[in-house]
Order: sequence, then C-alpha cells, then structure tokens
Amino acid sequence: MMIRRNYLISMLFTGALVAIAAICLAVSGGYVKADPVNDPMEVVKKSVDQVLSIITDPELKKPEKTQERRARLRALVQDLFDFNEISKRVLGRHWRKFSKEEFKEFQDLFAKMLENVYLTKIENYSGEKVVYEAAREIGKGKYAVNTKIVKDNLEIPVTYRLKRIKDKWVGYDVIVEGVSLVKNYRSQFQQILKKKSPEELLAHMRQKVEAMEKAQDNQKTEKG
Amino acid sequence: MKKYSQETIVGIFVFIGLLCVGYLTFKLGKMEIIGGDYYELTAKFESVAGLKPDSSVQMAGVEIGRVKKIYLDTEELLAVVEMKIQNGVPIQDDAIASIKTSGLIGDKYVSIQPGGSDEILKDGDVISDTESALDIESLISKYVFGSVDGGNKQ
Repeated sequence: MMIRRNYLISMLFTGALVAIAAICLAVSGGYVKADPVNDPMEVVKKSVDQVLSIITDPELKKPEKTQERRARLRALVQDLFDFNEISKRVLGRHWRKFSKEEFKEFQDLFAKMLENVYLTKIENYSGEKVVYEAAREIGKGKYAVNTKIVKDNLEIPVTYRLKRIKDKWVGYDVIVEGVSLVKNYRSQFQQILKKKSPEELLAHMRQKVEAMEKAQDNQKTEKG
Repeated sequence: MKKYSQETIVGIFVFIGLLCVGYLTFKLGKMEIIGGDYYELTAKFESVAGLKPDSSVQMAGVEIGRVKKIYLDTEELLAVVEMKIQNGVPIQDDAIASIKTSGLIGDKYVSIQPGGSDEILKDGDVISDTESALDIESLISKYVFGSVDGGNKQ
C-alpha cells in the first residue's frame, strides 16, 4: 500500500506541476496553427512540451546538471503561472493585511515551498504520457484546459485554469483529480491567519523553507 | 339559541385550527424563498452526484442560500447549478464553490470558500472556480498537495 501510494503521488505531482498539457507523444505533429500567446490551449501546450523535453533529456538527468535543470524548470513554471495571482488567491481576504514587502516575501517563500514539494516528484518522471483534451471558457477572461496523465491503465485528470492578465494567458490554479491547489492552500492559510499575523506566518514559512533547503543540501552531499 | 352558539364556538375553533395549519404550511414549506431578499448565481460542475434542488448553500458552515435549479448543459456536458444567495452576503470573483457531503453519508450541499478579490459577483454572475462532488476530499487534497504546517508526510 505504501509503495503504490508513493508511486501515485509521484505521478500526480509530475502531472500537476510539470506536464502542463502536451500532445500525446504518439500523435505528435498536426498542430493547428494558433497564436501561442492568444490561445490558452497553445500556451499550455508550449510550456508542457518544453518541460517534458527537459525532464526526458538524458543529458540533464545527470546529477551534476541538477541545478541547471531545476533553474530551467523553474523559469518555465514562472512563465506559465502567475505567482502574484496565485498568492493573492491563496491568501484570500487576508492578502490585504500584508504590506507590499510582506506580500512580495510571501510570494517568494510560497513559490519555494511548492518547488520543494514538487521537484523531487517531477524528477521521478518515468514515461507518463500527457493527453491533451479540451479548453473551455469558464468565466469572463478565464479558461480551463483539461488534460490527462496516462501510465499503463491509470488516468489522472489534470486541469489548468488560466486567466487573461495584461494580454497574456497565465495559470492561476491546477486541479488534480478534481481537487484545486488554490483551495487546498487557501484553507490552510486561512486557518493560520485567523490567529497569526502576516509577520508570524512569514517567520514560520522562512523556517520551513530553510529546513527544506538544508535537507536538500544534505541529500546532495550524500549523493555527491 | 344554545345550539347556535355551540356551533359558532366549534366554527371558531375550526377556523383557528385552519389558520394554524396555514401558518405551519407557510413556515415549513419555506415559502420565504419566494420573492424577497436573494440574488442568483450560477456554477458549473463536472459532477453534482446527489445534489438536489433546495439543497443548502453554505459559507463557513452557515447557510447563505439554497439551490434553485440543477440541469445539464448539453453542449459542455456539465451540471449547471443555479443558486439563490441572500442579499448582503458578498461572494468574490475568486471564490471557490465545492460540493460536499454533510458528515460522511449525509446530504450534499454547496460550500463556498470566500476569495480575496475586489470584484464581487452580482445577480446573474457565474462562479468560475468549482470543485465537483468528491469523497473525503480534504484528506485527498492534503495528501496530494502536502501540508503547510506539518511538513511533507509522504
């Protein structure tokens, strides 16, 4: 049960952060010519293709290339997702309690936390295919792009929600198996911010990120 | 004369009884939903599994409205839920509507998690961010996405 669970999580994380909608590899080519910036579908396809190419690149799989690989993945994720928007949503009505500096720090720390949680999972990618389904409008200036992560007989639905901000489609939420990332973190932050101030939350997050980074460094020295 | 007054008294009691029954009918029949102090919002879900018209709509565990109508959008093959929300309860543009179960096997209801956006939805607007009916959903979300507090348990 433990082994299956960890495997399942690896798959879920791989899909959730990395595979941002790609065409099923068996059906490559045959793109309909579309403007990548103006079409939410294309925006997602482009990012996911690039991410997949990075994690399947045998050259980048080498341990000494870890930093470079992560830097490139990070850049791709930051290009697709608007962390300013995600941070606002995740803090809910509490976001106004944060000063500009505090909010900027929250954004950075939150992005680091997510990265720490997902990166190792992404690196466990083992040939899962991403099937690209459909894009539909869910509100004014909002689109949902539906995809599936497929491995053997297991299918995991992953939906990306995109919003039009300053003439660009950017992601503001990921829904895996019907569960929204924003909703999950929003519940948790709301609980914390009921009793703690923004500064206290930031202090707590700083500690957590430090601990995560230390653990990663230890891992590196162990392997190296 | 006596017979007449007896009948009158009986008649009065019957009349009072009918008034009480009428009052109960209105109260229990939740007639206050009609007309009055509500605005309408719509939300689309991939599955509403068991949600019924007149199901509760809640925020922070407090009822703020009721489901008015549920139907299938035949184009997108999604469930469309129309809700009546009490006036005076603002729902933000980035609020998330989920379908939850009361307890483990209880009735389904719509739970609305407030957002932080400055845009407030008006009568006739759509809640764009939704989560469909799920089992043990918060366990799964914690399980899948990890926790802010307790560290990565996987």
